[in-house]
Order: sequence, then C-alpha cells, then structure tokens
Amino acid sequence: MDKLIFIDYHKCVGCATCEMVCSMVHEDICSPALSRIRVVRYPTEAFNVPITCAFCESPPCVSVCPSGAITKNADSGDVAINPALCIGCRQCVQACPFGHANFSLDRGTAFKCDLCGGSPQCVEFCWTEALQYVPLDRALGGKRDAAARNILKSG
Amino acid sequence: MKRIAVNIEICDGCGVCQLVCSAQKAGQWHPSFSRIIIKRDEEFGLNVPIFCMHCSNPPCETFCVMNLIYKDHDSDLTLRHEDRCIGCRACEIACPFSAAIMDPISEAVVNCDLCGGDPQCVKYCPAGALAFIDISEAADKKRRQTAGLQILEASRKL
Amino acid sequence: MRILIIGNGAAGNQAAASIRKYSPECEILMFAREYYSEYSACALPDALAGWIPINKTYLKTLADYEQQKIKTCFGQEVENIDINNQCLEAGDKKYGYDCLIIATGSRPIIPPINGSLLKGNFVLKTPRDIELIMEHKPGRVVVVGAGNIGVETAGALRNRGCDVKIVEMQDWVMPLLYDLKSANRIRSLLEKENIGVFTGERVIEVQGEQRVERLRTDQQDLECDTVIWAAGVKPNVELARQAGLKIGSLGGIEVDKYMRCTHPGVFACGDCVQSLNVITGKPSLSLLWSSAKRQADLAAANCMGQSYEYEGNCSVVIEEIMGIPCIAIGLNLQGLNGYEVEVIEQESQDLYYRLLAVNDRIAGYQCIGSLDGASSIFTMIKKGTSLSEARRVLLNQGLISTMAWYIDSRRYF
Repeated sequence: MDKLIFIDYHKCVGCATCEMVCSMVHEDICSPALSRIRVVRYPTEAFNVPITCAFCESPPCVSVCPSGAITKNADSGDVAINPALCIGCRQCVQACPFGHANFSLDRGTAFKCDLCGGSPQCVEFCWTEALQYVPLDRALGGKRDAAARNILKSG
Repeated sequence: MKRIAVNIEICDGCGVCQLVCSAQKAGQWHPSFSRIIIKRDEEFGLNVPIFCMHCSNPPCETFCVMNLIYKDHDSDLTLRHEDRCIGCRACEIACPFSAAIMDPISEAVVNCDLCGGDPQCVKYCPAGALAFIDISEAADKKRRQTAGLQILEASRKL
Repeated sequence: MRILIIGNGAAGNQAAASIRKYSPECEILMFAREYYSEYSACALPDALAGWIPINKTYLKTLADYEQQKIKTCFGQEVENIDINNQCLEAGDKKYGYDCLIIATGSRPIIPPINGSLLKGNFVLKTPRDIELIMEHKPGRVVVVGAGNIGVETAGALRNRGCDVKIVEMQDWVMPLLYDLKSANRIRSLLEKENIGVFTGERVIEVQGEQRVERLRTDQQDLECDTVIWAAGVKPNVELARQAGLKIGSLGGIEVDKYMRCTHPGVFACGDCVQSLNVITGKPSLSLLWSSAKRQADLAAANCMGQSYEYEGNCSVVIEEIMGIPCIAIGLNLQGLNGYEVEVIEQESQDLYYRLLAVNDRIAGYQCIGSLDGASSIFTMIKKGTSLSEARRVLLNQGLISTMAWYIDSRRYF
C-alpha cells in the first residue's frame, strides 16, 4: 500500500463526522453503528481513538475467513470482502485485532473499509485533520518532525 | 441479537460447559453428547470452546440433503428439524467450525440452539470465560479494550 | 416480475426459495415433468436399505409450494423455449417471462446394449424407482458402476439381504473420487460386507428370456435377476440446446460466473450446467446436491439484480461403509492429471489418509476411517490455502487461537 489513512490521535476531538460520512456514503443513512471507521472515546482521559482498517500485510481476517470471502489483493494491497461468499459467521469481527471488521445485521454479511475506492470520504470531511490519506513516508516524516521538536524543546 | 462470546484467555478447558450441555440436551453426562466442544491444543496450551456460530448464510443449510436446516426468521438462529435427519453427516463437513455434532443415540446431527435464549453452558461456566452478550456490544468492548487502550497507553508514555 | 423455473429438483426449489428471500411478491411458476413434489435423491439409498420410509425422501408437500407462493405446473413437459420473445411453450399454452431459470437436472445413463430394456433393469433416481425395485423382489443383484451411487445402492441392497456384486469398468472403485490405494481400502470394506467387486470389466450384454437372467462382461458371466445401472448420470440439455443456448464441451449448459446462459434473462443451475472447478479453474460437471443448491442460490440472487460470482465447484462425497466413514474432497490424481502433485499420506490399521497438493496448494483429500479435521481441509481446499499457509497458521499461537477449528487438521501437515 503506497498510501494509508494516517491518524493523529491528538488532533481527534471525537466529533463523529467521519462515522456519519462513512455510513452515509456506504449505507445511505447517518448511523455510526453502520460506519466502517469507528471512534472510541475515553472522556475521562480526553482522548479519542478513530479505528479503521490497517490493511495488514498478512491479515488475520483473511486467514480466519472460512469461506474465502475476504481476500488481499497482492498488487494494490487492498483487503476486500466479497458479499456473495460471506456466510455471516462473524469470525472476522472476532479475529481483527483492532475491532475494525463490522457486521450488518440486516444483510447478514460483514463489511469493512474499502477506502471509498481511492478517495476516503472520512478523510475528506475530517475538519480537524486528525485523519489524513497520505503516503507512508510523508506520514512518518511528519511524526519524526514532531518527535524531534519535542526532544529539542525538552533538551 | 445476543450470542455466546468466548474469552479464550480465561478458558482453562475444565469441560463443565460440555457436561452441562450434554445433560441439558441429551440427558447424559458425557462430553460426546455436547453441542459445545472444547478444542485443545497441547502444543500451545490452548483451550477454545467451539459451538454453532449461527451464520447468516449457513453452509450447512446448502449441504443438507434433506433441506431440514433453516434460519429461524425471528431469532435468526440456525435450527433444524432433527426428526428428519438421515445422519449423512454432510453438514458436519460443510461446517467450517466442525460445530455440527453427530448425536450418537439418535444418529441425527445437531447444533447449538442457545437453549432457547438462556444458554446453560454460559450459566455454569466456572471461570466466566463464556458470556452471552449482544454482538455489537461485544465488538464495541473489543475495540475499546484491545485497540483503544493500547494506543492510550502508548500515547501516555510519550 | 415473472420468473419461470424449469425443474423441480434441488436446484429448482432452492432457486425458488432464494428468490423469495429477495422478493416475497414476484410471480414464480415452476414447471416439472414429474407429478410429485421435491425429493432428496441422496436419501434414496437409505430408503432402499429400509433405514427410512420411502415417503420420508419427499422434502416438500404440495401445500409447501402454495405457502411459498410458487405456482406449480407439474406433469407439464416444456416443449419449447422461445428465447428471443422471452416465452416458453408448455401444453399448447404460452408463458412469458422476465427471467427464466433452467434446472432440468440429469438422468442416469443406461448404455444401449442388448438386454438393457429387459424386465429387471433398474436405475436409482426417483422414489418411484425404489418401489419398482422392491416390487421386483431382487435376490441376486449386479450393480453396474462403482461410483458413489453404485456403492451406496450395493450397500443398501446388501442390507436387504440380497446377494450383491458390483461391476466397474475402470480399475478401481469410485475412480473419480479416490486413488488406487484408498480405493483398495474401500474395496476390502465392501468385500467384508460380502459384496463382490469386479473392476476392470466392461459389460457386454444382459441376457435373459422374459427377464434378466445373467449379465455378461468381457471376462465372465454373472448370474443375476436384477441389474442396477449406476454408470453415471448425464445432464438434461435437450431443451436448452433446442432453444439455441450454447452447450459446453462436457455436455452441460454453458454458463458464466454469474450462472447466466449465453442469452440475457436466462439462467441455469444444478446438474444440467457445467461450471468451473474451484481448484483447476477448468470447466467440469459437478453433479452434486451441494453444488446444485449453491448455484441455484446465486442464479436466484443474480436474476433479482445482484451480481454475485460463483466461486467454483468442489466435490465432497461422504460414505459410510460397514460403519467406517469414508470421505473424498476435491480432486484425485486422475482429476489432477497434467499437474505435478505432491502426496502426503499415512496409513495405519484403521485409518488411511492422503492429501494432494498442486504447486503447494491443497487440491484433494481422501480419508478412510475418520472425519476428524475433514471440514477444515474442505475449508482450505475451497479457499485455495497453500500447504505453507496452513502450516503457518498451525504454528502461530495467536492465529490458531482465533481459528481453533484447524487444530484437528494438524496431523495432516
């Protein structure tokens, strides 16, 4: 994967815009429960953690899926669910270490982030810039910069 | 929609769930009559209870040559008309989790039916490894505990 | 929307049931040559053996069709399909359709040899066949063909106390499912049950005055009063061919991944189609109950506007001979002809298994003596798991704890 959804946890205010947009784009309804990206909120710590698919290199959901419905595309790195094959056993929900894979009770199939086919709408609408869809080296570069500045400040 | 969830870190493989299940469902105290099976991995010391996942599109339904497996409309459970079973065991192979069990007495293949909404295995699990919870609640809990807490911890250290 | 289904077998009924999931309202009309409701062909040997009553092989009553709001035209042969005008002709009437699902199934092959029409020749395809066989009061039976139907029929008649022999043209029993070594185990199980097995023999003719008296093969004469033909089945494609739909090289209706025929609005599923094998990706005939129902599911979904792809067929056949479970999944060496096959096998007193892999990918599995771990192997074959991936999962504590159902299959890797 050349690009990833980079999450800056310190910027996230937990507004749920990403959840609303995601469910609107994919399910035609504003319902965080049906969103691919989910925000976990820790109000006492004032900390919000958006959780989305990490597009793992060796995804546990692909290994665990008994019907072969989840596949990783070797070229694009995309991990996708084929609803025709999904038997709705919810094992991917249990196996995902991030709790990302979600399950639709209506359709009886699992669903997950598909990066909106290349332009993730959650990122588009994130007004705090906590979510960014950037190449890996740029994401890391920004992080390195911030860490270096911290060291300089404290030193 | 409530389903059984397992915390495999807690399960010590005592087998009480199997005994309770066999007593409840077959009137026998014998693990081989149980609808819940504990898979034991001696290499890693793992004990994992396995039971019917009540898939939305169950493969066992496709494989049943007597068309006796059905999805119950209201409860969304995978149930069967056991009296019509001819014991061909096709559903046993079709089930990826091997959660369909051949009942040795009636010679019919059976699966977990959540005891009609009050699973006895959960009630009697001495370690508390089994829980009967709403599936979306389970996913929320997991997100909060496994992913969120780890990130929270890591950010505290910074 | 009006959907016509031709055929009242596993595929036809599954298609109707799946359509009902998508639309409780649309009109479904089902045509069938037979007068009776759906039955389970796989339960016929059990009924023949007397383990279950014949009426238990019927899966539906006519009231069930009414409840599912399926209009039935049973006993009504479809004479012609006019695919250009989207209608079909049956019994001097024309029926228009929006979608047509062809599920005409298959029929047993009786080779055109001398005496194959004499009294005492039977097939096992419908519950009526059981009644005919029982009315005939079989004593000494020869079953021609040692496929799964042949072997099950032989076991069933042996259970009735008949003297049973099996004649197979190829060199071992169940040649399409098992390899020689595993087939020999099955053969010895059959012989233990006092079923005579003659392989590598071609049937030349059936002899007899009024009724069957003996069966002549190229090597011997077998005295018998009943011959049961289990020499394979053949797709019923005459109607589709006549309508101008393309018939594939193996004799089944050609369909694409979406179960569509070569003409829009026409779908086909079940025994009458040829589909791609999940392992080799080559066209093959999969005349199995599970394939028929899966294909019907997809045909129904796609005719209701979805675009679901068929993953490909994969055969699974389970038999119980003398109380010993035998299972064959995927392809055998014959089916993998032309590939470089890696064989993992193990043999002991009461268990024999062999696992076949092609290019590291698990492609076939045969086991006599146990069903443990077979469901995981079936999952792996369908998913296209490689041997190395299976080993990786089995040796990774984190992974195996989330997929503990693989634990039973550890002994195979």
